Amino acid sequence: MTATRQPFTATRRRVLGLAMLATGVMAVSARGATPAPPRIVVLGGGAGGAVAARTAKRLGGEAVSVTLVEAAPSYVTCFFSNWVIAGLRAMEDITHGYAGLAADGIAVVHGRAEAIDRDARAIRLATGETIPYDRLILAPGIALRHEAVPGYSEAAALTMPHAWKAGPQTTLLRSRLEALGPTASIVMLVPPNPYRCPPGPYERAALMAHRLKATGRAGARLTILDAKETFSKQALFQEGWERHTPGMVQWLPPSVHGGILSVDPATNSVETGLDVFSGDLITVIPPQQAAPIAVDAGLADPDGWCPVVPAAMRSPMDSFVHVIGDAAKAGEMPKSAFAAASQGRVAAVAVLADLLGWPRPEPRYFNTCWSLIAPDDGVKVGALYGEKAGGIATVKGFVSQPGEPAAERRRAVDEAENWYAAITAEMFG
Amino acid sequence: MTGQPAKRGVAAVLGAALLTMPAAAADDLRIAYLAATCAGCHAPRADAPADPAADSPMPALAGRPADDTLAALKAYRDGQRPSAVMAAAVAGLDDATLAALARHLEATSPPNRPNASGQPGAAP
Ligand SMILES: Cc1cc2nc3c(=O)[nH]c(=O)nc-3n(C[C@H](O)[C@H](O)[C@H](O)COP(=O)(O)OP(=O)(O)OC[C@H]3O[C@@H](n4cnc5c(N)ncnc54)[C@H](O)[C@@H]3O)c2cc1C
Repeated sequence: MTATRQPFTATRRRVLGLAMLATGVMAVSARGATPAPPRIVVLGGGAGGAVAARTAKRLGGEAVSVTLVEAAPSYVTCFFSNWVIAGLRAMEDITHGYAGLAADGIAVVHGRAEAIDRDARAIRLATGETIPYDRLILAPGIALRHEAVPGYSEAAALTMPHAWKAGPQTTLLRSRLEALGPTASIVMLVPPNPYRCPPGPYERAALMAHRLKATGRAGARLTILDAKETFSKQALFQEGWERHTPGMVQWLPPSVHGGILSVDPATNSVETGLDVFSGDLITVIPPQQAAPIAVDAGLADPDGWCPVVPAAMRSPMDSFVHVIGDAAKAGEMPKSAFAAASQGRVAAVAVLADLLGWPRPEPRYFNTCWSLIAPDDGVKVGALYGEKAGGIATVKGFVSQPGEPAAERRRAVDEAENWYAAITAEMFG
Repeated sequence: MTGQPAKRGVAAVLGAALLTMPAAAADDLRIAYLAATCAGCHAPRADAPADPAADSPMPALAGRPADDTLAALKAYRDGQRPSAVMAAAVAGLDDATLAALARHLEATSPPNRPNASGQPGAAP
């Protein structure tokens, strides 16, 4: 069998790595000291970072030290935050602590990283403390570019919530939705690609309309002003909006509204190339880019996102840094928690292989994005991705179809719930 | 797997040093990595035993008999068991890889329950 060659070679190479490591261990233990294991530092404890840190620790054990730097004391998942806005989940259900990571032997440092000193290979925290690394896995997520929508700002987000970073903004949008009258008008601004969670705005529209209808407000209207001519799972969403909440959701592309020019929080209105839209509730999802810590460290392209080498999510600008999750330009992979976790595993394994002299497994990037069209009507899109022509491209994809039987749609909701349990278990233990 | 005897040989040679080795080195990092990718959807559940008959779209995999898992994985890959997600998840993996993955998952215990060696298991 010719296939026997491959594993044998891999085994031989691993043996070499083991032998070298073992020699080191024995040499040092003769002197009675323990060698300091190589330091893996993960910056950002979200979907990408938490999975990377836990994967590195679980597979690397005592042979590596793993530190996670995260600004917030707890993590509120953006995933399932649309369920919260629609009253299908509570904020507590989507809020998670980091105790499980500490229990795994990961050093969890709660603090804001202010800069990455790439020459010294260290992170500087706001407190002045520095954390040196042998390999950095950078998973800081996104920055919202409020200023990219004239008239919008962080202050304006208190009047025109984005709820695109989960937390107080989620609660705000939920309470604003609850307060609307039976014939209220809502306007939602959706940004151009690329942005966090491509189907997210359309799922949110479906669930907001569902909530309004279920609470006697079927006379309300939600208008989506999109910066794009097409969107993710479009046929499925458009069919679903009409089926579940007929006439309530209207989607307008730039060719119809003339392009978004500005918003005015004082008058609660949006000016487009062809019209002025005013509403009782305006929600603005602004354009995005990689979080400032990555951009400031010179790891982003001029477009604001971090390029990566597909085989290991390594930065082409710095071979000691891997960038994963929403901040990275991962070819055809969307910016999703599923994708971030998938990239987190790849980066963790690549770093372990690199530091410990193990053979590096070929990455199997994967994503599935489930979306609710109604509480019992779920759809999904996803794919296996691989390295192709220097980028990350689809190997085998799948997508729900319009007109599927109700049982299949119900099953997709079950799948989404199972996935939520799985990813949060993988992130937080 | 053909690599197996070689591995045992190495273990004997390195002796005590191996005790300090991380979990993955004792197995194949590649298989441990593949098993980790399963955890992206298949939550480890301490409360429920791995019951193949349980009506979950993503059943817990840790501790499941390797033969069952292998049969399922092959059926997904070869289109005998319909699931667009699973067909993509196992696309391109050969029989030997799937068999090693199934064995790895069997040897993994659900959280908070001892595995065969009496140690708490890692998530798949
Ligand atoms: C409404 C909505 C619905 C969504 N639904 C889904 C879904 O159903 N499925 C799905 O797969 N994805 C979904 N997503 C997308 C998903 O939330 C993101 O893709 C995912 O969170 C990206 O993970 P990440 O690790 O890159 O970033 P994040 O999860 O944002 O984590 C980044 C972390 O880094 C920390 N950080 C940043 N800068 C610093 C610093 N300087 N110092 C210290 N810490 C720092 C932040 O505090 C944060 O915790 C949804 C998103 C939204 C908005």
